[in-house]
Amino acid sequence: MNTLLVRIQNLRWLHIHLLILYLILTPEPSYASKNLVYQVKTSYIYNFLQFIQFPSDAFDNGYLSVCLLGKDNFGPVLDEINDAEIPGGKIALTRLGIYDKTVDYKTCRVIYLTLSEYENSEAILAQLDKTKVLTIGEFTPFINNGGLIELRQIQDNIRFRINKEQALIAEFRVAAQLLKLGTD
Amino acid sequence: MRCVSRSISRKFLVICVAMSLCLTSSVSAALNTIDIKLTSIETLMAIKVTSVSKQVENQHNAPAAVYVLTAKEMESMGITHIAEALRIVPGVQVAKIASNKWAISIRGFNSRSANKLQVMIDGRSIYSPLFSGVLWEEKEIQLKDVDRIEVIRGPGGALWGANAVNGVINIITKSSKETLGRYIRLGTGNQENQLLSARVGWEAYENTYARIYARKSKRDASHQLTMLNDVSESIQTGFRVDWYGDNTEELTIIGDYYSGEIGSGFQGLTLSGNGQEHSGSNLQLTWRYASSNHKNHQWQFISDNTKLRVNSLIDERQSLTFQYQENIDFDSHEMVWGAGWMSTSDDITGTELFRINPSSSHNNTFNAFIQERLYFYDEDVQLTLGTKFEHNEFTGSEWQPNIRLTYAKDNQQFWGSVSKAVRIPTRLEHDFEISGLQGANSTISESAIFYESGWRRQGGETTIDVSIYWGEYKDLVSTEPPSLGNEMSGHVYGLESSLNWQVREDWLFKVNYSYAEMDLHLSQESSGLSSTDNLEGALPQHMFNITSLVQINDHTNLGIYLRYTDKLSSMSVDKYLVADVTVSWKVNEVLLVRLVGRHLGEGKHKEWGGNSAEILPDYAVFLESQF
Repeated sequence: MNTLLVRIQNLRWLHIHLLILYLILTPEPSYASKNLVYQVKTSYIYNFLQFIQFPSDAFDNGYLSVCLLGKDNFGPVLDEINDAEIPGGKIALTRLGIYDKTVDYKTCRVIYLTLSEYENSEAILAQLDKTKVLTIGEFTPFINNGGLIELRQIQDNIRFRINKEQALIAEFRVAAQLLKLGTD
Repeated sequence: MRCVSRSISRKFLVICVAMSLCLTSSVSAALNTIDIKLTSIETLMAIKVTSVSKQVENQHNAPAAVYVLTAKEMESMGITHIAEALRIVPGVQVAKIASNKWAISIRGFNSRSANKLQVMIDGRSIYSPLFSGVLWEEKEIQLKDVDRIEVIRGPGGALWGANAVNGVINIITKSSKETLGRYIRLGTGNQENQLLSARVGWEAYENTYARIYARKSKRDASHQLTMLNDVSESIQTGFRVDWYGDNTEELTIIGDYYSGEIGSGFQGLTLSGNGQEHSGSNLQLTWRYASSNHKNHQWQFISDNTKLRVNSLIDERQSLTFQYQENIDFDSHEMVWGAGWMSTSDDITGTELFRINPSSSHNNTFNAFIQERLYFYDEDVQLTLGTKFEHNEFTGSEWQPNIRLTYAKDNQQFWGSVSKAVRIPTRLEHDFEISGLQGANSTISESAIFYESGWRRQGGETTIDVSIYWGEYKDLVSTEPPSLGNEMSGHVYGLESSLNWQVREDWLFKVNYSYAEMDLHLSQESSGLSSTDNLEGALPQHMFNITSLVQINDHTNLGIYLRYTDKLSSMSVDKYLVADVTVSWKVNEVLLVRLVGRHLGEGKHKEWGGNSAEILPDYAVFLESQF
């Protein structure tokens, strides 16, 4: 009887080991909401929108369309700002997937470009009406290509810089405090 | 034996049921390290996110009873010594034995050589392999350059290795990039007669930063007739260089030297009188890099030399440590594994009455560890499995496994864990010889299995953290003439809680409370010479503290810290309630004046038993300048 019990226990351990082995050996694309980096980036997006006043026609039934373009590295953490209050309304979050040049992105009032769109960023930015659409990119060079806010990692920290010329001609109003913080 | 295993399995069952209850609740967003909506841009800009520190962050986000003491808190409280800083942490028992020595432990077994608590500075252990525990008086750490102190209560053996039975204290210093400029502090008081410290930090080359520091302190004699002459003086100096290759690589070199002496009234490790001299130096090199988005590596090399002279022995030791660690971040799971080797040589001179045999020795310790964290249900549920294997020359192979389960819902986290940790015998326990008693070459390691569970809620202005624990100890060292044995066992259980409340932007309020009970017994084979009552009665049942940090105006800050410690029955130490008050006044951009009053409200009182000193109210004034 005891031997049988031991055998069953051994089998159970074998299964746990196999499960761990399986999990280790099957890497998949990183989906890193556990990652502090993307928590910080999500919080930045939320904070930026607190400092930017969009005209009332930018809101659709009280919602401002915020789009994520490119491979989603945020994971569920980004959903925390969906429906969040901002000056003038709330955030409506849409994940657009990777760039498709046949798609028109004009319903988006805020577009966040993820790293996967690095190669396409010039084409994407050229396609957008940058006086209406707030663009945020997580790679360099982004503002040199006409983007508005560039998030970048400087050694240990994530910092941002703002394209001031672009901010001045936009229909939305960027608070002076944010412009000041976004200076190199 | 059957009875013990039945009681363990029952406890395990309770924890399993508790965990499964948590798991059946609805699933939601994973617990974040930061509050997405309440973190300001300025704070975001300052958060460290490097893959390297991220892993550190993750390890400590691991389900465990963790408390982080920030540099700001220590500064606001005018704390000058690392041992005093630990008083703020819930569940940590800090008892001042004399003006220059402390007994510090977590969850019991406290003494000057509290041997179940591992303490590390930037990954370098300062736990003494000679006599166990930490000689706090040696450590004149420059608190201005400490980034944070992380205190993990409960076993940490699966990651940090042997001797982390009741907890781990990680002291993490700032990168030299964060300590640019000059800083000077001058202080004097009726206990700390002199305190001078200075630091210079600069950018050495592009992406290379450096700092050097020096510190000198002189502490007055303790207030007790038999210890009139334990005046102590010490100096410490050191440097740190940080080089940042790019976003994915960094190299840190740290070196320190210290030296100090304590007057002849000071009682040494064993018998009385004759004072103490200590000195040491250490050099460490840490290289971290990411080989891909998912893989980080860390190589660490540490060289440590120490010398200690007390009345009955002189100990000189050198150790070399190599440690490698890799963190792999997969989609639904993370893994960290590592391996290391430590080589120690020592030379100990005893006396005729107190001999160490052999007087010199060379020991090698090997270790390897692996920890796997699996995520389920959109990462709401985390399962952490890990173990460390260590091979030492005293007790052979030791395994220290743990399993931890977390369930996070919105801003709350529930966790439970079962972990094992061991304490290996020290050189003294193994090799000492006095008349009629000698160290046990056959001594086996002490071990403990802890069952822990906790709840943490972060949100808005408040953070609440509650944890409960039950620890089963076996093979605790006991005196069994003609040698030492392992005939003591028993358990400890308790609760630790903390509340952080940011009342207003300019007012932080904290309350910590802990409760603990210990029950030990000797086996029938024991000689009965060791006293379980002594250990049980040295653990305060209740401890609480309240901290209030208020910014009165742009120039003035007020810190009030109230603490209560229950009586220590076996030590004849009464309960006490004392306050520390600190007023900081920023005179101008470069000068800050701090007035500190400590141990106020009880007059003379004792914090420890035996012939420890009485603690008196202590007043000090500090001038600090940063330019």
